Amino acid sequence: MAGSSSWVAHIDSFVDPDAPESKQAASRDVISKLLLNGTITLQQLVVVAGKYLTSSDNVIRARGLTLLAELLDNLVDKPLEHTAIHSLATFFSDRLKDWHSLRPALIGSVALLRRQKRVGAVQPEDVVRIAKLAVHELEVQALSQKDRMLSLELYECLLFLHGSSVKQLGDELVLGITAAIDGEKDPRNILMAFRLVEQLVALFPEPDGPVNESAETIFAILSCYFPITYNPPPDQRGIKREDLSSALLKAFASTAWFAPFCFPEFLEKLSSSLPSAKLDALRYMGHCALSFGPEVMSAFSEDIWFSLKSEMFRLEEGDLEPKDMQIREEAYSCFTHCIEISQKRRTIGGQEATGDLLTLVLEDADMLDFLGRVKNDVEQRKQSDSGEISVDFSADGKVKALGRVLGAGARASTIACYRVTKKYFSYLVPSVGSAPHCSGSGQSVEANIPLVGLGATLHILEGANHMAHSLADLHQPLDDSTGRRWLEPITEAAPFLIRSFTQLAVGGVAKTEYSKAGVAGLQTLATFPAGLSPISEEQLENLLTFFTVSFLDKSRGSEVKDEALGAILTASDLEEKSSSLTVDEPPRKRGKVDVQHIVIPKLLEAVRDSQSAELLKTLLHALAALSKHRAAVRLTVLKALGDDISSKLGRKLVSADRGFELDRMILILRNLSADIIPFCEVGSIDQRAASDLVMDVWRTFGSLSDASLYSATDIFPPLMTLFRITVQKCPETLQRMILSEGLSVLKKKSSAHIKTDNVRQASSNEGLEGEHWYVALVSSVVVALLPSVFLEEKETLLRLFVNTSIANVDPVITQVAAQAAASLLNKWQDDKSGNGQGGVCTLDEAIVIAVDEGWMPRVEMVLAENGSYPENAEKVAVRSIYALALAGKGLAMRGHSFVSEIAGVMLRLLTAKSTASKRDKPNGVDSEERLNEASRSAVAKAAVESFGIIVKDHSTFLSKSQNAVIRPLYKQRFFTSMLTPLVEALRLVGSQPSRIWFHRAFASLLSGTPLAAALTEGQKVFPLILEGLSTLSVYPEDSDFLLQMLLALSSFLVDESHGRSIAAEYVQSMVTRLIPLVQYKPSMVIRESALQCLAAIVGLPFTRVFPVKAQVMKVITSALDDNKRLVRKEAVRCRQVWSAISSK
Amino acid sequence: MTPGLINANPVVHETKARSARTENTDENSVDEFDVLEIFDILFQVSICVTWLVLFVEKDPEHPYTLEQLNVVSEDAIDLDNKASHVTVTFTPTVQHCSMATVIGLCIRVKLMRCLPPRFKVSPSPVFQLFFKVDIRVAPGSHASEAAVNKQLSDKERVAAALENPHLVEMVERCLQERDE
Repeated sequence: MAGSSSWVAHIDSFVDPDAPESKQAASRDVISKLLLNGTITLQQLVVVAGKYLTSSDNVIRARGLTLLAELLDNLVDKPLEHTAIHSLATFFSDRLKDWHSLRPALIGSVALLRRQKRVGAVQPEDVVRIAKLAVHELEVQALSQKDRMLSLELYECLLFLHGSSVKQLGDELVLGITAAIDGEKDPRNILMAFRLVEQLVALFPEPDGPVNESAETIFAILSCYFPITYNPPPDQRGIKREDLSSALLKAFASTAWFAPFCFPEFLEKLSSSLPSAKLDALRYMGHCALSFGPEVMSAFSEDIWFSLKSEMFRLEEGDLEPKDMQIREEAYSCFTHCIEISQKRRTIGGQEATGDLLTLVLEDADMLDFLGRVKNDVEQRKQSDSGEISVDFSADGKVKALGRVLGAGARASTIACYRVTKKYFSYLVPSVGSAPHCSGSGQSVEANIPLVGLGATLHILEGANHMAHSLADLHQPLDDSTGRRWLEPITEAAPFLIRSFTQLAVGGVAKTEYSKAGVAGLQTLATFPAGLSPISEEQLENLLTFFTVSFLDKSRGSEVKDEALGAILTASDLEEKSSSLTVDEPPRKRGKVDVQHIVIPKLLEAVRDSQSAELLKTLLHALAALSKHRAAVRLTVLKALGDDISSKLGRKLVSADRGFELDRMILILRNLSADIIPFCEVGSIDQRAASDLVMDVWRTFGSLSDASLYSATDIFPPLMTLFRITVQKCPETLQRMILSEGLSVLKKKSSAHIKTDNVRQASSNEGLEGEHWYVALVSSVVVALLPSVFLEEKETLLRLFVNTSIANVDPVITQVAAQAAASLLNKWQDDKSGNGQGGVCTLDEAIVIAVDEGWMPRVEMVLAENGSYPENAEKVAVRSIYALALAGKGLAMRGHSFVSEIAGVMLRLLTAKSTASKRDKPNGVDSEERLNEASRSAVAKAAVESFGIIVKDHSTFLSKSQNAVIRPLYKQRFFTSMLTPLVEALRLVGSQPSRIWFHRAFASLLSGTPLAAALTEGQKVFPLILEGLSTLSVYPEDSDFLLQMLLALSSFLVDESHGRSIAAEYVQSMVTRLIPLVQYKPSMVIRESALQCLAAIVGLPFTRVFPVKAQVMKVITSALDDNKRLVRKEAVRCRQVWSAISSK
Repeated sequence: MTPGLINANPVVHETKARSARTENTDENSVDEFDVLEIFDILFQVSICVTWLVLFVEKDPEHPYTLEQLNVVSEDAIDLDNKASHVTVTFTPTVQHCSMATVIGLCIRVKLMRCLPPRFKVSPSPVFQLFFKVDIRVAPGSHASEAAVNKQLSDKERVAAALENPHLVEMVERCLQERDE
């Protein structure tokens, strides 16, 4: 065959040790492809390559073997015959003896061992052969890193894939592997060694097996690595200290046979001075305890407890560093694990005594001493009767530590919790057992606060709470008799605890620390899961009431208030959680005792009675936080606040003496629209409540006829927001309902007004601002409508909005009216049936109504050459320009081409300015002309801004959230369409002062355009940017525009694909324009950005950059002494990159 | 020269976590140079701890910063903005004068590049970098300390040192920006 000689040649070239590596690899790939598609067989290959495989030249032989091994590696999915595999296995395993070709032999063996059954795996006897030879022939630790890795991989394959076959080797295998991993240093290999140990243990689980016998040896090898102190250099192979550490942990925890060696080691390391060693020791101890089981653990409980105890005591002394905090946390979680495991004996071992560790802890001398002190403290207090507390709260370290120990114990298991609480409360509570009779007398109760045991009590309750929650999370139906029995001690102690915590919280003691502790304790008690609470409903109700009262109490410090609010929130979250869990089986839910029924009414009442803005804000904030995640609460709050608003709106606004009421309502409205209504889900019942509120407000307005309402116009802006927020998420039917109600109110209020389409009359009706507010309200509704809401009167509405948008009233009104008009145009739906008889006009007619009849005449007035127009005309013109821009945006968004005409008008306005100034200059400067000039610049400014308005995103109108119609990429399209007219206009305009307006307009346009769009038009845009940089740097008020230009420039400079190649042609002109900007006085940000741009220029081609170096260095050096530090920092960075190019 | 590494395994000190200072955004206020700023400039200067590695291999193995090695601390910087005068006192990691000069040279070059020219322009004694080399527990430290200081404050000698391509390369490497 033709290819025969060629593939033989490939073999030769692979084996040739002098051939370049890439060529060798290519040859191998060719052969492997041929093998895979069956052109040649493995047998053929072996026959041809035979002379290399058996060559007496060590190098050649190794190459030959490498070829065969790597090919085998590639053929892992190709079926091979058994005989072939057998002979290959024999061959490769024999080669393991051959030191010179050891590596390929290893690769080949691993490749063979990895073969799956379906493609022909190695037979067990061959596996054993390989394993034997590996064990006897490989001196792993004498090999290089790569070979060691391969050897370990070989062992790994043997253990993981052929465990059953190699098991018969027993001792031999264990010894071989132990020897192989002994003293390993490379992190990658160590990781594998840990895995091997784990697997080895799994393979020989028998107590009289080989692993148990050599457990000590294996542990000796492993223990060298503990604790892992590996600080990898940042680049390396991705192995982190944590990886090694967790692998070692798994190896340690793999069998209890390591226990006799592990724990002494851990305990020894615990007394080390290295924080990381301590941390690891604790972590390992906890984990190993869990996996070794109670029998093994009981032997060590004493040692563990004493070393842990001394460590815990130490940790309470002095100030803790972050590391120590971590150690403390780990110590207690380790302790919890140990307790947990030692409590397990009953379930495993039969009737032996359980929990010896806990017994040890509870009978400990220190512990008994502590409990004694707690008892004494309580008794003393009762006797002293003074109610005065003099004991130092900062109890000593032992007390704190033992408190935590008890808490950690309570956390471990239900039985442990029972034992801990029983023991502890037997010391704490019996003294109270006699208390009830004196609790009535007042002062003696006050003396019952267990200050010494305070920390311990809190910790224990937290532990029990944690336990209860983890039980509740299991979702197992609890057996009532045993399920709740462990809570009994707490249940018994609960009345006492509640009483003492309440006293603490109320502030029998002056310090806030106590109050906080008291509230925290109560919170823990109140937040047990529903089925597992140690307190009764009545008690819970008291607690919730108490929290509310503390929160509302003015005399409290803010810390205590926050704490109380936190408690309420936690309780609320818990209720929400448990109610969502028990949706299908509600019977065990608490009756009416929950946050919604106890706390919320009180808060709402407080809102009604509040008399100061500060207090009201806190209250509303709390209500918002509570209703955020709970629909039911939200509904209650919404209804209550809504009723409050709509009932008072009429009465209070009309009466002259409004006092605080108006501010109150505004605050409530703001809160509703910012924090409550946005969380309502679409179509939910609470959203319905929100829309009811809007309807109520409408009705209230409808019934009001008093004009004095208009004096309280402050109420309207928040109302408008509320309307918009509510409407934007309503379904269509509700939207229509709200709108028609609004329209009827509007009609009633100004029936004369709405029918007229006489523009002049509307704008001259200045006394009627109050009525315009109604239009504003309707506008906010229209802004948020869905496009599908069909409007009967949309033509009339449009006229109304257009008229209002240019009326001489509050700018809030004109703006929202303009937004409404633009939204109408944006969402305009032509009558599909095609018969325009319904009085409904098409979009094009609508545009004529709005633009040609509405806004354009106003604009034309100032465009007129003769300059004689009414006084207010320019104000009207500015409003019209704003409205026009919005309409343009609305049309651009739906892809309507009329926007280009609007943009054309804007351009004309810019030119109008220029002709005016040209004409004005020679005329001298009399005051009349000056006035004219000022107003024209106001007009031009509005025109400049309008470009920004069209391309920018706005959140409150014409956006996705306001249901606008948005075509993709409309900004890009508008930007591209504007470029040519802009360039053309610039070409026609000569003088500098008028050019500046075009550059401003361009910057305004850039501000909202995605920079990618500017990049694609790079050839046209870049010269504009450059010219803008020099033109706009003249007047300080242009700094925002200038920054925009700089940002665009920098986006060119960092764009690898396109922008940089354009920028490269303008290096010199860029630099000349940036240099003055580095010293641009008015704005620091511009100086910074200019320096950044300069630094980015360095990335352009060297030949263009180098000539300007001297120029740039000079200016950067001066920037090093800038007044602003940020600029100096930027200058240092910039100087560094520029100075670097010289050395190239 | 000692064959082998001078200090292959230096003590690495934990760097102080410092909160980013809130910059004054007021356009008209003036931010004076202060010690922290000088320190920020210097703290990036990485020092190749191994003298030989630097010349033998391309990559220095321990590119720690001056701060990590405790060579320069904030307290050791003395700044007089009005007089345009900076004094940096540094502590070499090992008592070996070759390292001291290199570190000193690096500090000097870095400051020359990052401070405005007024901080070093002659004629008046406007700017002098006084390097007081503080060598702890070193026999005969007096002699070498004086020698190093003399080398570093002598402009001519600094300029001459920067003519030496080897030295320049090394200094450049030390001054490279670190990625993090």
